[in-house]
Amino acid sequence: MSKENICDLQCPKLPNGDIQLNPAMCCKHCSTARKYFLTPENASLWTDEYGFWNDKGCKLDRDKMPIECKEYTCKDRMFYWCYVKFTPLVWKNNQWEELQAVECKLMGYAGDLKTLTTGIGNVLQKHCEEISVPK
Amino acid sequence: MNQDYICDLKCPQVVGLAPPEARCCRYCRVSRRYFLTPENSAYWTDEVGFLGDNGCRLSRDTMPPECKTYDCKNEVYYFCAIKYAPLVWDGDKWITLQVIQGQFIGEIDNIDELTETMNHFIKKYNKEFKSCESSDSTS
Repeated sequence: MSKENICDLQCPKLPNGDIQLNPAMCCKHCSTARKYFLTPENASLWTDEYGFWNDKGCKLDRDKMPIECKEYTCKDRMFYWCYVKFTPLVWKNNQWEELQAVECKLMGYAGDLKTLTTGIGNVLQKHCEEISVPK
Repeated sequence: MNQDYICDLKCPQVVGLAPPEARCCRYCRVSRRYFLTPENSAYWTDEVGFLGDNGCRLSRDTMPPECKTYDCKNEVYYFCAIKYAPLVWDGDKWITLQVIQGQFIGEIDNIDELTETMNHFIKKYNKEFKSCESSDSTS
């Protein structure tokens, strides 16, 4: 039988502590992926954004949680943090000049690189639009 | 008629980052393979095409026309620095494992290429990191 874990909400943080991973990611079994567990009886504890999760963890009583929620511990998993600084360069006044840079900080499950690179791509695209980088 | 530019090798670069491989002379590079003939093959390598340390190795009158008319200064480039590290629970707290850093430069029109490059960069690291981990665990 698997060991039962109680989430202590010590979700992964960036080294300088300025960003904490969305806790719903750590408590993934309380989050929206558990929609199958939604019933008329527990519907008042559910939101489409966070599932059964709130900022103190799962809103379901422990004896009413899905079994995979009780067994899951994010501490068995590897996460990543990633900083990106992106600076456009244009030729101006006879030299390459830097336009306004954008920085982003991201966290997620190691191995889920698609989410990471898509996230970075979206930030860079949005930045280029915001500062009207000439095409 | 398009203006004729002579590349001055003032490639976009960032202090601290090695000069790019004559990125601005992209029309001298391997994409010009169609221009390879027995007469100019001495100037060609499969790695960098016609590019030499001082730009295109073809004499100006024998360059592809698009090489002569291309001016990288009309392009917008980017410089991108990335720091990435795995994070694991050591029994008491989350700790950062080895941090890797990368720097990339390219044309902003090819921003998809950047995310693809980052993907390869991190994948390569993850692979190397895992192989280090497994060799550590067997030692």
